[in-house]
Amino acid sequence: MLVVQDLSIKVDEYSPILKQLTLEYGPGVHIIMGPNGVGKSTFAHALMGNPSYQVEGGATLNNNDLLDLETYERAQAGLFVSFQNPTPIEGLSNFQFVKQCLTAKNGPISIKDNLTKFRGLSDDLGLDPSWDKKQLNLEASGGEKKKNELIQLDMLDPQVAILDEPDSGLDVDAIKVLVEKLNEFASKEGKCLIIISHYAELIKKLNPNTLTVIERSGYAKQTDNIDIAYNILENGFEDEGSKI
Amino acid sequence: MKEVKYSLTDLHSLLDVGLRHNNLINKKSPFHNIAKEVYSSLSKSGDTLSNKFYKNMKIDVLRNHTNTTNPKIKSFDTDNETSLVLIDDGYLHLTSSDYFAGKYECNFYNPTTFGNKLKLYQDYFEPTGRIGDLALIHSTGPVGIRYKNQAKSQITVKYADRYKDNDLNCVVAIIDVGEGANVTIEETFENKEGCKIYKIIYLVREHGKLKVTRYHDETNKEKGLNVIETQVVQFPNSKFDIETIGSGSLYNQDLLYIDSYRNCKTDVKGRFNCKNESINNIVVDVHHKDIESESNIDVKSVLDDKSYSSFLGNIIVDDDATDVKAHLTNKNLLLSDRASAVSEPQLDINTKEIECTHGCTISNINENDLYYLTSKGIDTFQATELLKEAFLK
Repeated sequence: MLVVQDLSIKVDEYSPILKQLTLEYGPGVHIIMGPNGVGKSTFAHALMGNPSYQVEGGATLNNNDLLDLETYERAQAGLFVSFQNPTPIEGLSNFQFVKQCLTAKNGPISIKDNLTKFRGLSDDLGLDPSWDKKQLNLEASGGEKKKNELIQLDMLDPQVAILDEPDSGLDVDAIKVLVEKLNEFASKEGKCLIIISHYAELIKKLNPNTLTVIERSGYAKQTDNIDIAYNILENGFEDEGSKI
Repeated sequence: MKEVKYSLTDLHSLLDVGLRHNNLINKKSPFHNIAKEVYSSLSKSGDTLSNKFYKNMKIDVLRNHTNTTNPKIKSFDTDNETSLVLIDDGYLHLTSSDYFAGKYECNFYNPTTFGNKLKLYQDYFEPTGRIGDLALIHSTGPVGIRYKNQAKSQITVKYADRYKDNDLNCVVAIIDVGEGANVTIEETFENKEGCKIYKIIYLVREHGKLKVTRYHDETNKEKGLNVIETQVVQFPNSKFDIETIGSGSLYNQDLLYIDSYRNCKTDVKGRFNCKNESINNIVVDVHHKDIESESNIDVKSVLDDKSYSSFLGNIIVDDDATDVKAHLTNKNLLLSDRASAVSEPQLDINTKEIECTHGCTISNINENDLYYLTSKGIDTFQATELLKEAFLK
């Protein structure tokens, strides 16, 4: 599904942040871990086509070259990246934005049906009843912004979703809903959910298939031994039991 | 006499050849006295276009434009008019008979029929040294709408030059909103070749409310040269809202001067989406002359291609005008390397007992915003359009 081959990512012409990554993500749930600042978010956004990054190597989505596509084409091809700190846009409402995304992907849509769905999701997440009308990520708390990304994930229904610390800023009740929504997404046929997280409860409840650890050196390794994730959470990245 | 071509700076010479019939020459004009006063002032101060006030307004475009007058063309076309009121030089035309049933709770004044009433409004005008002065001299006569006290009314007005030539056109209009009246006006300024100079005054009397939505014409922008000078006098306890929507033209100036007295509320909003080689100059000047008044100025422009915008915002608060709240923002979004904007806020505050803020910005599309939108599947063009629309909201 999503395959990266010998992928290096730089922010300038100097040495790469991430080096020669070769990773494979099929249907199911995958966890990415790594010390602070190693480039976990960079990995996600470089795949999404953020122009701040220079990328060498290969990446494919369903055997189609991802790196040849514009950012919006990658999204339309089925890739979704949630933002750790989504950008606020004054003058654009939360629903209007989702409506535009859906229209861009599917052509004309039923506003009534999609608004009903949007309101249902925002209600499930405990957001203000007028959330659809509020301006996109403006005057929203960190948790509310995360919930908004979750609504977008549900509404846009991508094939591969990379969520960057989706639990941060969420309260206990919201995390319950988050787990429910993520499991619901991952259980659909052919969906691939990649989570960047160090939150043990979330990892446990998502029952991941693989773990990717990005090392301080910029290299990354992948395993299906999820116990390593729990060892990292208990003993840190340097512990022998944390090595892949 | 044959067709005559002239620029705005030649306008004075046309008085001598008797080509232009106007307030100055016509001793019976209700605005003859003010025309004389302005003419005398301009004779001393010289060419209005050389006024340093216009330094950021690409005034040479207006100066170098050639107007064409042909005295033989007298035909006037008001067919297919959808606005209730059409205002041309010295002429106010009504397109509906509803007026006669008293539906609009106002009187419409033409100089020929209500000259004596219009004459009284001269006191509200004085020489300014700006282009609007030319309207006071060269208009063939003022027109006006006088709303009754407590009137509740909604009308559409079109300012247009309906003579079939490409001549300069001067309009003086008075809109007088009576005490306690609540009036909504939707007005459009039509683009047509030849400089169009408008001098408009709104009087909003005590406890009156006036809401104006002003549209600059979206058609024939490559031809339109409009100078709109609007003066507003807000009597105590009155409310004045204006929202202007436009996209510039070959040359556009929209100047708004507001005098605000005790306990008045003023809301000025401008939204401009300029493309191609449009020029759009905006001035908003609010003068708080008495206590407890509030004003909010919010002007935004998007500039693409080679378009140009200038904004001059001015808040003046007199020394005895305490407890005033005044806010001024001007934001400009540049979508092209060749587009440009100038933004100049000015504050002249003479009292400490005031709440006043101002902020002016000129920026490009935020790359993070663009990335966020495209990362969710919206293509770059649509994302830019969406950000533009969001900016102008």
